[in-house]
Amino acid sequence: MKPCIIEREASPQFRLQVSHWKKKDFPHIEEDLAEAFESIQENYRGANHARSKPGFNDTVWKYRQNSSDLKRGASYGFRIYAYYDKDSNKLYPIVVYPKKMMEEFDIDKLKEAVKEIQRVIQQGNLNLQSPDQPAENP
Amino acid sequence: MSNSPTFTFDEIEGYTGRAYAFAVFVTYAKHGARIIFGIIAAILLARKLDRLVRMFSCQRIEKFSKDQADQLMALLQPLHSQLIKLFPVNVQEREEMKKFPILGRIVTSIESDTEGIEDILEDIALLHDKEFQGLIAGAIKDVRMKRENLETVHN
Repeated sequence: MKPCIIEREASPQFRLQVSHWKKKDFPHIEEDLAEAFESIQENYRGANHARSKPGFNDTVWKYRQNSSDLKRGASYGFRIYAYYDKDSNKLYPIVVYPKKMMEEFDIDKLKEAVKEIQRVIQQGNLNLQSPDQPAENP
Repeated sequence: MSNSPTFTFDEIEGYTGRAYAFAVFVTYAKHGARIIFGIIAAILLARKLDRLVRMFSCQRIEKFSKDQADQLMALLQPLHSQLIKLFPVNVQEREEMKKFPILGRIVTSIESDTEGIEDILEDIALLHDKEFQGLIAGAIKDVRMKRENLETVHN
């Protein structure tokens, strides 16, 4: 399999999420992600427990990566979602969130994680828009 | 993943039930300190889980009806809970367990497949979740737009 190119800076949403988790108990997230991307780029369909996400026609892939930050003695892992563009052979990471390993599956917690990511993105978009606002209303 | 054989819903349902039974056996052996029985049951459980996780390919999950998805969630959740009970909560203790010859490999395999079962539960739970689908679709749209803008600049 030809290695793919990982465009980790392409998604503004992804960058917002990384800085959010970095501030929130995961200071080594960037190193952890770099480690994940190193192996994923060699085999995006098999590395890091790759799973094609149902409903997206093999274009959205999910990966696991252990976190090197321990929180209250518990181990955490990241779940990374990435969009694969077949034409350019590029993989775009779009979503990342931490999860406690060996914890009961809780659908409400999962939906809360989705909501938290949405809040981070919305807040980030507002922050990006705000510097332009004075220019629009001089 | 696309080459994985297709399993019927009944096969998946039956297999999940059997994996659950083995997980109960291992828990029973662990609590009763029945080492040999526990190791044999753990080896069989690791095999069952490995096959079970492979059964839930992306293509297979997409074909589940809402009723089937609900039924499977109801079967997989107790299995996942049972599997978690096999592991110590403490990270260091869990890592120590993995250092044992033979047993360490089995523990690693069961741990990975326990996470795999959780991935399957998540896939089933988010398959029809509008917020999640919107989140992913929005991120893809932004990435595509950015790429098209870059291509326009380059041209």
